[in-house]
Amino acid sequence: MPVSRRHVMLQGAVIGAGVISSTIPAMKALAQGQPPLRRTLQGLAWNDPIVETYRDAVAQLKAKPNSDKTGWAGLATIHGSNPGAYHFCPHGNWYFLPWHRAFVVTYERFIRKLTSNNDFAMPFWDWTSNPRMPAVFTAAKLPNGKPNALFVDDKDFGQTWKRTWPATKAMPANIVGPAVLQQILAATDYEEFGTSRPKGQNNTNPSWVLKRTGDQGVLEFTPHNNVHNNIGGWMPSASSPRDPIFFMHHCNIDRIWAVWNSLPGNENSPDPLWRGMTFTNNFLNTDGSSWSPKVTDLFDPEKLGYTYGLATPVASASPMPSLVAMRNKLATVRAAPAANAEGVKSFTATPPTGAVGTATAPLNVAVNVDPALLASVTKRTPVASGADLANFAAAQEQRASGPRVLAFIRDVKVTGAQDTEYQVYLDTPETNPQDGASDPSYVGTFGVFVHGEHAGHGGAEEADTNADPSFVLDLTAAIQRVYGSGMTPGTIKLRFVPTVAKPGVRPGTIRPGQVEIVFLNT
Amino acid sequence: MTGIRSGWITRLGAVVLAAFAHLPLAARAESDAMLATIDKPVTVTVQRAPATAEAAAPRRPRVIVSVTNYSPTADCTPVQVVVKGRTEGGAEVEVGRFAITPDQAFDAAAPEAQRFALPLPSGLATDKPVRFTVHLVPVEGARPNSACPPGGPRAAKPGGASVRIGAVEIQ
Repeated sequence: MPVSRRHVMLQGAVIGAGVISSTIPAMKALAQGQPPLRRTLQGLAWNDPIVETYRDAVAQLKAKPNSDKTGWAGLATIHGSNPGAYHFCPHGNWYFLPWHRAFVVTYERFIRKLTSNNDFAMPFWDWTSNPRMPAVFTAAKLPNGKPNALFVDDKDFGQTWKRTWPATKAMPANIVGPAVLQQILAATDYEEFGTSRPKGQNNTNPSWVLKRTGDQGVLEFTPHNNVHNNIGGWMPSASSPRDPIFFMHHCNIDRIWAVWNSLPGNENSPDPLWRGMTFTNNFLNTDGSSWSPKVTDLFDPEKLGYTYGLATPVASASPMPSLVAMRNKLATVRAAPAANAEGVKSFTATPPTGAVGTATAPLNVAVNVDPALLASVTKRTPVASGADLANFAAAQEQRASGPRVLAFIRDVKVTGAQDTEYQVYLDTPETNPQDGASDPSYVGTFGVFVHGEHAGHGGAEEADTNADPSFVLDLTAAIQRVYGSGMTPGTIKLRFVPTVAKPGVRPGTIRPGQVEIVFLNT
Repeated sequence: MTGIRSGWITRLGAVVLAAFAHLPLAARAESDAMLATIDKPVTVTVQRAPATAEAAAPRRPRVIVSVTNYSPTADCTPVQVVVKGRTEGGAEVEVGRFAITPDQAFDAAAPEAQRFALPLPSGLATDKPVRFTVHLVPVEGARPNSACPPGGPRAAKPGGASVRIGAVEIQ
């Protein structure tokens, strides 16, 4: 059956689920003479210059003796004197965010100096978009056989320190997922967002910095605390900066503060008890001398030598050029399936005869694709979580400004549609459908609207009620999450998993007539 | 001489134990009632205070949970606190969840308690009393921490994790 435009239902929710992907302002920032961009770790391979620089610097710092205050262990004592005792770092009060911003900047400056790479900016682990620990941190050895300085297997304080969170398990959505981020960013004043002042504070004596009696906000007590504890090893202790992933975690916390600040009306606290606090002799300059920033010195990332690209203004009320081009390409593909027009490459596969997917035996469909095209997708800078809120037009333009991958699931035959929803994953050895949308290989979910006697109707036009429905899913973000560490196979495998939400109901089955993978490039 | 002294100490110990045994039962029950363990949540019913000028501030209604004492699991498997709430006749909803970092034991007098401000779900933002339950739950999929041997610096306490709730209030 020919697939017409009306058979492909561009389901906003499904597209939305798959679209969380990337922030181009990186390049723009550099081009405009702004400081280096802190970008997401997602999509950075082990030999990416950002990862290489960080790993090289960590190795150099670890090579210094523990007694050296400018070494890896020495710098960590700024945060905690030992695993059981904090030193300077505030938690549970309103100095939490500015203090940790200064702490991450301290390391960023040391890394630039040690590696002579002044373009380096600390990448962040965007656990909302990609809740698995970044792969470049979890392998004991690099692909070239050398030890990975970002891996943790340390002996100190009479113990062995290893991360214990499974490398292939996603952090739970109820601590890092989009709903949590939305709740965090909905805070209406600084003390609600970034934890409140310690009880009874009436002056700027430095002793207040260590009081833990403020009302912690969601940002601190949920993703911050839970991710620290879940990772294990050094991370749940006061010596948490001994784990190199500390800085990617805190860089993301810092980025969320910057995103919140960028939203209309979200000002930092005007209170002089907060603004006037100086973190006297808390930090080090790269020459070993003390750095004592005041809270107000820490408001502006650009003045501190980095950017998240959030300030890029988008004044145009009309769609931007890449977005228009991408829409035109999509129109071409919808009008003529399997089109290979300029900037469009299409690959198709048909499931084996008689094969159907069930809850216990999901259907896998493999589509051979051009690995070079796949690599071009994984190399894109993903749109970070929260970027839509900070600047929706810029985020949309970024999504459109590069190669995207769509999966057209055509002529889908289902049973049990009344009670079943059909989940789609990239099929990898680590794929765990139990994790649902938290699984990095999750692409999206669709349902089939049961309409009168015509089970299998997709809810499109009334005129064609007997047609098997078709669906389109955006694979771009899932491909970046799964293959972003450098592995780009020549085959995209999709896994179709029927599931039910109601207890005691048996899931139905699914069989797509054809799967078409389309690469679009503006 | 030594035998006489040890007998005296034993008798003194018995007197002290007896004295504690006669503490008012209500006080002990209240104290236990505020200690959440893995298999025993704490339940607290809160009546929202009438609106004041302060309440008119542009801040979301919140539930403040204060914690005065915390002990991690003996093997330092991560746990988290999950707060749920319901009004009479309403469905129970999750208010939020939090962990305590660093994951080590602490014991604080009430003014020094750690405080966690959870946004109040709209369904619970009523004038009716809200019944909150505070659960201590293991993190699904987490493993015992490598760096947590008995006697280690993180003061893990045998007998399982616990968290003592100082107060639950709606602001």
